Amino acid sequence: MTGVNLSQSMAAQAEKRKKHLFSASGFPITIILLILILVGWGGLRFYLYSLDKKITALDATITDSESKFQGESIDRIADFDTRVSLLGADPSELIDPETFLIKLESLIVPQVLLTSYEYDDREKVCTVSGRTDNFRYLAEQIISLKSDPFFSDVKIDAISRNTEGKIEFTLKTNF
Amino acid sequence: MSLKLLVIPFSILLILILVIGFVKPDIGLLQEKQATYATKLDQAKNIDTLLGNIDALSALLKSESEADHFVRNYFPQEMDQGRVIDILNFLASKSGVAVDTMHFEEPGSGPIAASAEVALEETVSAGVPLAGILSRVATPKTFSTEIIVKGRYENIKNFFQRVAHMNRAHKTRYFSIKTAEKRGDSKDDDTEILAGSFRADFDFMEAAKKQNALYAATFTKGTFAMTSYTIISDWVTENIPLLEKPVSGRPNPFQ
Repeated sequence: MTGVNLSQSMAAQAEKRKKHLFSASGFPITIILLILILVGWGGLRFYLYSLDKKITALDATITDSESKFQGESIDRIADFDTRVSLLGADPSELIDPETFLIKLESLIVPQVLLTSYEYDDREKVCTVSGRTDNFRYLAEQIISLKSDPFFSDVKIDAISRNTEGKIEFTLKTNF
Repeated sequence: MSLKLLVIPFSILLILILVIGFVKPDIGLLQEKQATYATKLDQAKNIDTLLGNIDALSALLKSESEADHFVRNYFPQEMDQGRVIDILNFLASKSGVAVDTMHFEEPGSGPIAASAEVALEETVSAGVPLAGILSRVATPKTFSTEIIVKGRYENIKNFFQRVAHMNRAHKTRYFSIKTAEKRGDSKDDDTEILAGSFRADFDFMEAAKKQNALYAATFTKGTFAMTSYTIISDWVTENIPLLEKPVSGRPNPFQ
């Protein structure tokens, strides 16, 4: 037993194990694996086929009922619903000029004469133009407008004196 | 023995081909079909609900015929500039103001119409929302009208109030009251006469035809959302009768 090459013996054993894998028991393992995969795939195909049948049956049910889902009455219902939903009942869209004018009437100083009142929804600006004899009345007018939350942001746009000596002014407010 | 040795690598190769080439794509297909099946199953289950909803909505629309009539007049299907002229003229004469000018702008030219065209909503199929798929929603078109009237302050204020509450959908964009410009040769020196200007956008929308209840969100519920209608019907106080087709016919239209 002396002089046996141990490393050679280990290499031989590894070679033997490799051969074993590809020979005696390795062959049935791969075959069993192949069969299992084939069976699994077959099952998958069968399941897909049955799913297709179920989908076709459901499609047929839906198509059969489809005639009940179209027609003049369906169009009318859908149209009414769309119109009602688009009526635009947003309170901010419902603007009553009278409300603005009543508010304005209550805020104008007696010594001031208005020449113009403009409401611009797109620019979100209200413009008040007028005429008065004295700068004090103009100042009072600004204070009066500012006392209302709607006109709290009043800014002077222009002041001038006309040929008759009266003070003409334009005030702007953003809303 | 050598043949037997060849069979094994071939079997492994075959297994790999089967798994990569057939089993894996079929698994993907299976997932797709399962999703389709689930959607179709939901649709089939919802069909009964949809049929119930259609019956309920149909009955509701019949019982709410007044609302139906109101909505169709308030928010018409076609551009009705003629009706708007009639309404404004009717309200002007009722308020005691004189119509000076009227100006109309083409539909779809305003910024409102342009922004409305991109409106989208979630697509439904048999009451089942299809995630990630958006449908184009019917969108209103708009034409703009400006009217300038002349009259006393109280009359113009009354005119504005009536116009704001008319039975025709609109959005007030601008109104003004100004002292009327004095003309040099005018003998009319009535300083109480003012010029009132009112501008509004009028929406209209064509009726959507060939609707399918399976794909319309309306039928996922058995009732109409009438809150907007209630608010608007309370807001409208000026019910101007519809303009009827007049008797027409003239042998020489120029004399």
